[in-house]
Amino acid sequence: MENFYFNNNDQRLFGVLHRPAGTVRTGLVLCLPYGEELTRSYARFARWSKQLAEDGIAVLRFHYRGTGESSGPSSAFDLHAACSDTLAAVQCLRDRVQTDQIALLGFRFGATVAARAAVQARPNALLLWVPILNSATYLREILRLRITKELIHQRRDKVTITSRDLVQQLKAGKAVDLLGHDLSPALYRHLRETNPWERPPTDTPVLWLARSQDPLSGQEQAAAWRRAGVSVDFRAVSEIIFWEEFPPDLPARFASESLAWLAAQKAVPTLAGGR
Amino acid sequence: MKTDLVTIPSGSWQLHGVVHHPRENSARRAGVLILQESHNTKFGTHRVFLQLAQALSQAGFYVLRFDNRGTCDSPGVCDLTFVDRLADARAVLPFFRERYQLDTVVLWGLCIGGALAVHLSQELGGKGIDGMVLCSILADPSDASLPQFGYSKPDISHFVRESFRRGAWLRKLNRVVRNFSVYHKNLTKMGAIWMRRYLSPEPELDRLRRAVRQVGPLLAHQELPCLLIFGEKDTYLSHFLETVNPNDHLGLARKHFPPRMEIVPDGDHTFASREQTAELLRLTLDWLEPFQRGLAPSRANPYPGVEHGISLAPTAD
Repeated sequence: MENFYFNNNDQRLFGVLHRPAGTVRTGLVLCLPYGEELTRSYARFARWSKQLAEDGIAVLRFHYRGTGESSGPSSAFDLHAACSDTLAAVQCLRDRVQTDQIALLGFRFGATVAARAAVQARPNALLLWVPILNSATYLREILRLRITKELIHQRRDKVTITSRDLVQQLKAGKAVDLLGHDLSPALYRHLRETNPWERPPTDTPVLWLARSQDPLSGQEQAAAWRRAGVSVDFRAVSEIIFWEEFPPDLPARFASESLAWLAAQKAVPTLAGGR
Repeated sequence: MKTDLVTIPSGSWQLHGVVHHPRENSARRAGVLILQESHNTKFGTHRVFLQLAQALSQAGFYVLRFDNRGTCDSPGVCDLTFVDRLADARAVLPFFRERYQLDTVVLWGLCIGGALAVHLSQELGGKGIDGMVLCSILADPSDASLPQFGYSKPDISHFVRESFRRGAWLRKLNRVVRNFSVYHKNLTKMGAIWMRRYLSPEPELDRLRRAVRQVGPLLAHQELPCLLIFGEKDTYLSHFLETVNPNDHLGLARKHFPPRMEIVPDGDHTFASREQTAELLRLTLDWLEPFQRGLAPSRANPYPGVEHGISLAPTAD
C-alpha cells in the first residue's frame, strides 16, 4: 500500500494505491463523494480497497483538490476541477501500475464526476453507484443539512437563515458554509447549469447500479445513454444507504454485482466467492 | 509548508501519518500530536484536523496526524478497539518526539481522542507529554458508542432517559405523535440499532465504557497543563458538568495547575462551521503559544470553581 502526493498542474493531490502482491489484471480508480458523505464512507471504502488488492485489483483512491489531504481550500472543489483531478488520477494509475485495463468507479457525486471524466479518460469500464441525477434536489439536500443542524442546536425562533438565503449568497458569488467547509459558487453553478449526463462515454461499457428502494433510480437516464449508443447494464438492487453512518457496512450487493460484472468484461479473472 | 508522509511502526502494524513542519524554526522545537475522534480519518470532518495542523505549523509547531492501525490509509484491516488506539498513540508519541527532536510535545484530542490523551498521560506517568488540549472530551460512559451503531447511543434505557430528561414529558410525547412522519425514519433506524445491540453482544462497548468512566478520575490525578474546549451546544458539555464532574467533585478547580476551560459560542461537537473552527483554532493557538518559549500556559480563566492553589511551575503570566 502506497501513500503519496501526485500533481495535477499546480494542484497537489493525495493518493493511496492498493497494489496487489501478484499480477495486476485491472486497475480501478475510485471517485469519492462530496462533503459529509466522503467522511462517512471513507473508512469502509478504504477497507474494501484493501480487500480488492488481495484479489488482484489495483485500486487508486485519491482526494480531489480542496478535499481530504489534497491541496487547496474547500472552495476549490467543483465539478470541473474534480473531473480534471480524476483524469490526473487515471494517468497516475497508468504510470504506476502495469496494466492495460483501467476501470473507473464512482458513487453518489463521485459517480457524476466519474461519468463526466470517462468521456475523456476512456476507461475500459465505468461503474456508477447511485449517481446524483437531479442536481437541484441534491443541492437542496446538502443545503438543508446546514439548516437542519442549526435547528437542532438552536431554538427554532433563533434560526433565521433559509435555503433561499443560502442560494442567494451563492448567486452573489459568495461561498456558503456547509458544516465547516465551503460550498463554492462555482460548484453551485455547475450543479445548476451543467448537465453532466448529456455527453455519455460512448466507448466505455457501463454498469449502473441503483437502489431498488429509490423511486428515481436512473433507469430513464440509463436508457437515454443506451439510445446514444452506450453499452449500459442498468440494475436496481436492494441495498443499504451506504453513504450515511449507520450501518457502517460496505454495500455488499453492489460490490459483488460490480466484481462479477468486471469479471464478465474480461477485465479481471473470475474471483472465487465474489465480494 | 513542508509535509512528510511517514510510516510509524506500532507493534506488528504500520501506521500512516502526516507531519507538518513549522513555517519557521523556532529556538524550541514544539510538537502537537493530534488524536482524532471516531470518524477516524486523519483529516477529519470538514478537514478540521488538516486546518488545525496547518494553523499550528504556521504558528511554528510540528504537527503529526495519523490513521490508526488497519483503518483508512494505514495498511491492513482492524476492527479498532480502545486498547488498539491507546497502543497506537503510545507508539506514535516517541516516534514523533525522537524523529523530529522535539523539546515539547502536546497532545490534542477530540472526543475519544481526548479520552485517549488522558489515558496515555496516565500510562506514561506524564512523561514525554507536556500538555493536553482536550476538545469535546468523551468522559461520560453513556456517550460511548461504536461504529456498528453509527455512533448513536445504543441503549434503550439511555434513549428513554435522555428523551424525558428535564421533564415536559407530555409535551414531548405530544410532539412525537403530531410529527410522527418526521420521527418515523429515526425510530426505524434506532430500532435497527437496538436490535443489533441486543441480539449481538458487543463486549467492546462495555470495555470502551469502562475506559471512558476512568477519564474523569484520571483527569483529576494528572498534573499536566490542560485546556478543555467544549462547544456551547454540545451535549458532552452538559454531561461533563452534570454527570462526570458535578459541582467539581473531581476537584479540578483546586488542582495545583487547574485545567482551563473554554466554551466555543454556538459550538457543536465537532465545531462544524467556519466560525466555530476559527474559534477552536484561536483558542488552541493562544493556549499553546507559551510552549514555544518553554513556558506553561497562563492560568487565567481556570476551571470554574474554587480558587486554585499556587503553582510552582513557571508560567507565561
